[in-house]
Amino acid sequence: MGSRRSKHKSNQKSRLSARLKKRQEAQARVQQAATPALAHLDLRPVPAPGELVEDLAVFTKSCREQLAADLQAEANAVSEAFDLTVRGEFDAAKERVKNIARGSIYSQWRLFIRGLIAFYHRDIDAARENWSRLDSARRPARIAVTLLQAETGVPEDVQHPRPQPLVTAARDLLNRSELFQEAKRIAAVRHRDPDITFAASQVAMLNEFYERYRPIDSGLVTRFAQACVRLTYFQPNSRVFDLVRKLPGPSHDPHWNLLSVAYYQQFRGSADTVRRHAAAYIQSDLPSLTQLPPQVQNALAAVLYVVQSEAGLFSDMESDYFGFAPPSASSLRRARNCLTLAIKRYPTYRKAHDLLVRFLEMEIESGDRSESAQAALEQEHVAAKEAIAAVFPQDTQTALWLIDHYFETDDLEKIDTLVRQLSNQRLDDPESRALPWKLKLREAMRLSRRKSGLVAAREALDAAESLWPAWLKRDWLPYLHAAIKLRGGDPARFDQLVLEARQACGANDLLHNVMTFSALQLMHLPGAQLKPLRTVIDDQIKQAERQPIDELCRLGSFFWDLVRTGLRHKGYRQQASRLGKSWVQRMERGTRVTDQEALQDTCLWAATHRFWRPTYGPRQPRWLARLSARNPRIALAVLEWLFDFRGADYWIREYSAQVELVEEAFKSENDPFYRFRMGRTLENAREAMAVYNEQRRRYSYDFAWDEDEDQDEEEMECDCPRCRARRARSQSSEPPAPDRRSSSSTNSTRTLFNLDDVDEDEEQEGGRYEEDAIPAAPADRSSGAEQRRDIPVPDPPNRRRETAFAEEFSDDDSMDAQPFASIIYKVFDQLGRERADEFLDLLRILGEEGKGTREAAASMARIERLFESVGLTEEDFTEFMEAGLEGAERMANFRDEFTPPPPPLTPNERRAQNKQRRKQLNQKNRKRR
Amino acid sequence: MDNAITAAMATLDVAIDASPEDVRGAYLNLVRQYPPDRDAEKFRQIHAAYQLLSDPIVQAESMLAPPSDHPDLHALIAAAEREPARLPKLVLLALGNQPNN
Repeated sequence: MGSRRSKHKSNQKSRLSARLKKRQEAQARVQQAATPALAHLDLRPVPAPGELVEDLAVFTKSCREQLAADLQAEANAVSEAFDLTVRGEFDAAKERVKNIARGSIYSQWRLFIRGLIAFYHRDIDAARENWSRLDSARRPARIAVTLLQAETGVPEDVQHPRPQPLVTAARDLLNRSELFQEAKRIAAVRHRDPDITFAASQVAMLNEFYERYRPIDSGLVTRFAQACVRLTYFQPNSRVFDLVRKLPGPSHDPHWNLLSVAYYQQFRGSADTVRRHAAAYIQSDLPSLTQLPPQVQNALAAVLYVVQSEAGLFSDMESDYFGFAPPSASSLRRARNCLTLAIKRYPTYRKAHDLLVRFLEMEIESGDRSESAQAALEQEHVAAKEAIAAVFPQDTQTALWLIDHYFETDDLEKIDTLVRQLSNQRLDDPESRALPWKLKLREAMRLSRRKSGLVAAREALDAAESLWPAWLKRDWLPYLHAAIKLRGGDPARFDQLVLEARQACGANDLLHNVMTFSALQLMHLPGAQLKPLRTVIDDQIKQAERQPIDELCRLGSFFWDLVRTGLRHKGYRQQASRLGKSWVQRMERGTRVTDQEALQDTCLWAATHRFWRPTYGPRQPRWLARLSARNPRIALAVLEWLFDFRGADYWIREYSAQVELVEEAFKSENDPFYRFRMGRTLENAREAMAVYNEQRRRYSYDFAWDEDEDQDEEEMECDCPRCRARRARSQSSEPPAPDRRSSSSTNSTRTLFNLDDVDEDEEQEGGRYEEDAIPAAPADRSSGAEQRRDIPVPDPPNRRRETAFAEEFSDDDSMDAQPFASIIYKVFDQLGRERADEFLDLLRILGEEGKGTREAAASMARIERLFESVGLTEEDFTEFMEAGLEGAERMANFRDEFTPPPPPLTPNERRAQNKQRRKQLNQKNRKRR
Repeated sequence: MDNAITAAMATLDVAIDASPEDVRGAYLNLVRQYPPDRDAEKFRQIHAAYQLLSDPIVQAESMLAPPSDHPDLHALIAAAEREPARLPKLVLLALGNQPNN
């Protein structure tokens, strides 16, 4: 026990002595400072013999305590007024000493402060006027004379001349010439690389500047340092940013955590860093920011929780080579927790609500859980929607969704509440204006549950018929009437009605059966009665390949009506999934469709479910690009599909043709439903374009690659592994693509189905359309996972891999690839990922700077040291350097490939990989031939 | 924070820790001084600043927004050179020391 105490004491002692030593060193630095102004900073007020205790009380606490209470208050006021003038708050300083009476002993100090403020404003006459009334025997007058003498250079009071050292000190400190000189030196550093806004060499200068000159003018020095930190925001070198942000930040962001969040959001692979800074701000900075109003504090916390939730998901996505891996269930759960916290802190934060609904939908769609867990999630989804409806009563889409849901759960009271809520609003959306129709139709469906309600159900259906929206086809209505007949036990009438309905709309077997089935299921016919028809439909859809494409499109058109009115039957999911896959495959093969109206409806329907899979970002497949370049409604479908993706703002540049087409069609569109949707989509497009332009302006270094459109096009055309790897590298250095989703995305289920077994290679066989009608739409076919596996994964002990890598570069005459590859593997293997990154950065500098520069020489020296540290010889180094500096760029590419081995392949993935390999082999053979 | 919010705070002449009532008071004062029929542009500025400062979420998002333009260090120095120098308190008081001290 005793030894522990003595150890503690000795630790304390050593800490104290270290602190003392540090202080002494700092003082010594000031003493030894080369600049005269700094040398004066150790000046301290010293009491003169016989000096009034009231004057001493301005800077001596012990003297202040000796005064009467009223004088103590005045001494405090004077002292605080001085502090305010140092901070530049002159009005506040005047205000602070305003109440000192003329007869008070402190009136001299009041006059002095007024004169001082005039002096600081360079109004010497006003200063002199105030100070002329001061008692020359007291300290204020002595300070005033010193200041005036320092400013004018002429002795103010010949009878009582001021000591020259004090006048010199005042002049040096007032001029601040060294401070400005040093600041200008930092600002004048030129950078050879235009991407660099603040170099590492400037960081060292800035740190020294901050330490040395802060005592002279803390306000200016702090402002200057903060401006430098903000400059580093504009460059991609995060090391400099991390170095410089150690300087204190502004009052609302003392540790630069907010700026760090914004900074790291720009880069891929930084999601964890973003999360860390956001958490640090919420936990450490925010509680101490008492000057912020509580509402703003809560809003800040909510915004950062949302940032955290998104970053958590992006972190998952970034683990995939191309960033399209779906987030894991645990990440989604964490993200939801963050969003719940955000809503708790700020209940009216719309973005948090929308994201919560979206994440819940993603989890529900993944469907990989027990029935009870799935039901709990669905319940949570409904609760999230209810929360939105409660906080945002003007949100008609959510209200409509909830009405549909309550009809399913037979919760009439809640429906009434929502209908009343909606009736108080002006509804612009045609979908919302069709609410009375929908209510009647839903009422008919609800009443048909019991046979006793069938008469009322028929009446409700008749009422719905009279309210049928003009923008919706009526083909399905007779089927609904027929379904009520069958429900009432009149199969003969049912048969007759459906036959008439089929003749009226000219539906083929499949469409007729599906329309019948959906009507029967929505009118609550027992499952046993539906089973035979279900079996027939299943068989027909399984053989969808044999169906004419026009018939598939007509069925798609019917499904589009079900989706846009929110009247999906229970069997819809399964039927739609199969139809969607089959239809996409047929379209990829270039099958021609004659029924254009059905085709555009099917495209709109398929877009809501993302039936075509994106590769290299949300790019539409070629067959769709051709269609969307000509048909405005298909262009609308594509744009709606695009806006459902993260980073749509970035990709909008590739959809300008579609935007123009929709814009043109919007002017003459007569259908109110499409007109409304087009208007909303155009608004989204304009916002996205504005965000894109802003990003482009701000992160010009990341857009360098798309300046040359021809080159971009060329890259898209080449599909060899190397070009794909290069494209992937470009992808990985893309600027941040902020998440911006339209509120409409929250009210519909977007990704209902998995399309993993869609064969992307089939797309190659397409292309029967006229080429002149094709817009310049890039098409990439392989999925991210397939792409990553195409590239040889580094595996240092494996010599064959080295050879493969060397072969990759063997066509380049500038380097001998084999030793180059061999050395790289060795370095990567022995250094580990982090130091390998450092190594590659050094090489990059070497490649960019050329051999002659100082930076290049320093890089070369460090590379040499690295080589030594991993046991490579001088010969290796020479060989490596001879292999060509051009290799630096390639190695940066290679670094991207230096990732942990991918998880074991599923049988489907393995098949796809084999297919891909065979294809590559065939291509290679063809080239050789 | 450095751009939109600071500009809005400068327009309304309020501090970052101003309460919603203070912000509204400042807004109403300025609107009285600059009604839309007298100076439409100034009124638009004042109104935009008030809208920004009265919505905590907009305020929070602006605080998180990155700087919009590269800070100009030379301009900052030039502006500081035009500003008066302010001496540290103790140094200023020490200028009144008696010669024999």
